[in-house]
Amino acid sequence: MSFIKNLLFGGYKTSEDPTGLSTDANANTDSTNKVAEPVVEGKFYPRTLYKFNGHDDEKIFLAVKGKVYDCTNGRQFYGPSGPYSNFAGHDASRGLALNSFDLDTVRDWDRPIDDLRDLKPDQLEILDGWAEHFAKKYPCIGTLLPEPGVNDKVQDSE
Amino acid sequence: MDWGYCFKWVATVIIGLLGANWLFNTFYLDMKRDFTSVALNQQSNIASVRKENETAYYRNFLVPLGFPLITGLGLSLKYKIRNGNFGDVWKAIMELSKTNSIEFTNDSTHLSLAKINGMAQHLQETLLSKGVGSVGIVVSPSSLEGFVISIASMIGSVKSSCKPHFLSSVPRERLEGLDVLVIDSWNSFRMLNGSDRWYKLVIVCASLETEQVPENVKSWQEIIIGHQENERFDYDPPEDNSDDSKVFAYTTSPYNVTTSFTQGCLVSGIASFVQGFPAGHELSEKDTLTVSERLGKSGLAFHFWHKALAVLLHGGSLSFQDRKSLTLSALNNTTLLFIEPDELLSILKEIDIKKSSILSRIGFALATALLSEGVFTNIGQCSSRSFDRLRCVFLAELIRDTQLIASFPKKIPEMKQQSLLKSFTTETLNFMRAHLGARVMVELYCPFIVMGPVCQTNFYDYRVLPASVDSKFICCGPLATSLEGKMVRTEQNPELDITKRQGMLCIRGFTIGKPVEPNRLERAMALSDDFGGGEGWMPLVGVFGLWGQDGCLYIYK
Repeated sequence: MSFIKNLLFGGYKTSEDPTGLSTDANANTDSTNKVAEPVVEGKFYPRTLYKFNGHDDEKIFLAVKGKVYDCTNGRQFYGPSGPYSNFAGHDASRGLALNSFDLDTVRDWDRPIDDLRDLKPDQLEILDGWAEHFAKKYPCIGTLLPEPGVNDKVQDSE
Repeated sequence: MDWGYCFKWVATVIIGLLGANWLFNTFYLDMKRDFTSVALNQQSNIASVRKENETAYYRNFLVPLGFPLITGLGLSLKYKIRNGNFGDVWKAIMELSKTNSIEFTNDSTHLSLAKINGMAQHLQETLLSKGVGSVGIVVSPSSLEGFVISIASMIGSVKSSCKPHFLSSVPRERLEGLDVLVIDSWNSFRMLNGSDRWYKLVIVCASLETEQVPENVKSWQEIIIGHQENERFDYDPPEDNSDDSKVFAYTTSPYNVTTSFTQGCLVSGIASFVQGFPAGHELSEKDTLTVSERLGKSGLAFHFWHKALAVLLHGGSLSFQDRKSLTLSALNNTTLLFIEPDELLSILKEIDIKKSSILSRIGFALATALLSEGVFTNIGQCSSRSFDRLRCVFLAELIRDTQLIASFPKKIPEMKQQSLLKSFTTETLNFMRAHLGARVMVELYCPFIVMGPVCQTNFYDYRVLPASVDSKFICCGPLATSLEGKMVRTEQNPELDITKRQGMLCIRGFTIGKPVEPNRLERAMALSDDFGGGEGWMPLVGVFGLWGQDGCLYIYK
């Protein structure tokens, strides 16, 4: 009835509060109006990175040479059932350097961060090319660091 | 009385109304809406990442993230792509200048572009070609003399060393590189009080009153003698694109700071303005842009060039109106109007709404109701011939305290009320859209610092915002396509929550000017380092606001 009522009584339709500051803004806001909150650039541990694998969280992050990239826009490659889905939520450096999508190339979150020391110069060169590609294509959202007491402890025991 | 019959009658009416409402909503409103609710709610591209004390980067939805901002005209020079400069623009304007004309505030005749081009080229060749630095223009570019001298010195900005320098007033001290001064009258000349000796040439835009004037002082009639109409303007860009990076103009504010703008600022702004028109509403040779008095005057005139040159580039015409002549009747041929809120209000006061017929009142009610639903109609347009051709009004909102912004202070002030004084509510804007039968777009300007608008509401945005929002904010729409922006947290304003996208506005892009004074440039760079890691961000100190969930910029009133 709103339009007919407005027409008859000289009213008009008021839009929802786009600022989101009014108390009932969330109640009024329909699903199309909700924007994904941006991720705060910062430090990631393998454990905190893991959840951004496209399954547990719809965002897809992966690390290359110590930098974390938001690859959500590349869901067709890195998302669930994509060819590179093993890399999502992990440090993908070794897999990219070896051009291998195998699960063996990525480490679990409770293992030390791969130092890539055993890679050959040509493999490191390939990895540099990938790092450049990621830096151009995806936003860098932080750095990957070993979590104190988690990643370093495992390294000691190994 | 048969109660059963009455009940049936009432029930039929209610069902009829509900049905009509459903049918109207489903088959009329949804099909007629200019903009879907999804498009209205996503007017910006937002980066997926933000830094800790900042919001994400926001861009107009026409400029995808990862792509360059609008950077000029994208002209081709053999296999290279060029951004372009004033020479390219004026050459293209003259190629299309068969029927269009310009009306000035001090000359009611419509002058052809060939006449104006002839005068400008004559001045450029005879007076401004060799060894002349900046041309200080104090006269209003909305007058014939001011416009022609501006164009002549703009031609000089690509063809010789001279450049236009738009001044707010006659300089009280000698400005470096300012060789020519253009003033409006002999009275102004007398008030120079001997400072005319600072300049190689002083041009007085009035007829000669006395023979006894210094040698370096010339009247408008003297300098214009010998000009001929000229329909051509020849310009060949150099192979190395060096002309595209030259300085286009300088502007000096009333608080005496000077900013330089490159050719890139000009062409990016023109491209951004052209792009703002959606498909089916593009600029054409049928357009006539009317610029109101204040926005055509020297200090603020810097902002009309994008619009004016873009309209001329499409074969359209220009009209400058001063306060006295800016009446309903003056808008007869206007299709685009560039105006300040108070000036528009005074035009609307001429319409006697109380005397309008019942039919036109019903039309107005229908128009406002439809507009708030997102459907544009001119059914409520006032019965004045003046608005028949009007299709778009650009309402200029000016940031008031540009002196603070231009000083690049280290200390950020606390948020103050009333930084924008003349803003309308969204309800009033729809009232205007309905009465004018035209789109009304609000533009936010930062005079003397950014050439052209910082942001602009969408052509199709007719929303009426809740009163709580209108009382606190002015909705400025998404950023211009040649700029990107972010909000930053400031220690002095802890109440502005960065996680709710509130803070102080920072912008970067291609229409921002560069401070000329070395100490100001140094301060600008230091401030940019503080608020953006030196990545070219310019904080607009004192401009506080938030990004709406719709991607629009909301500035605190």
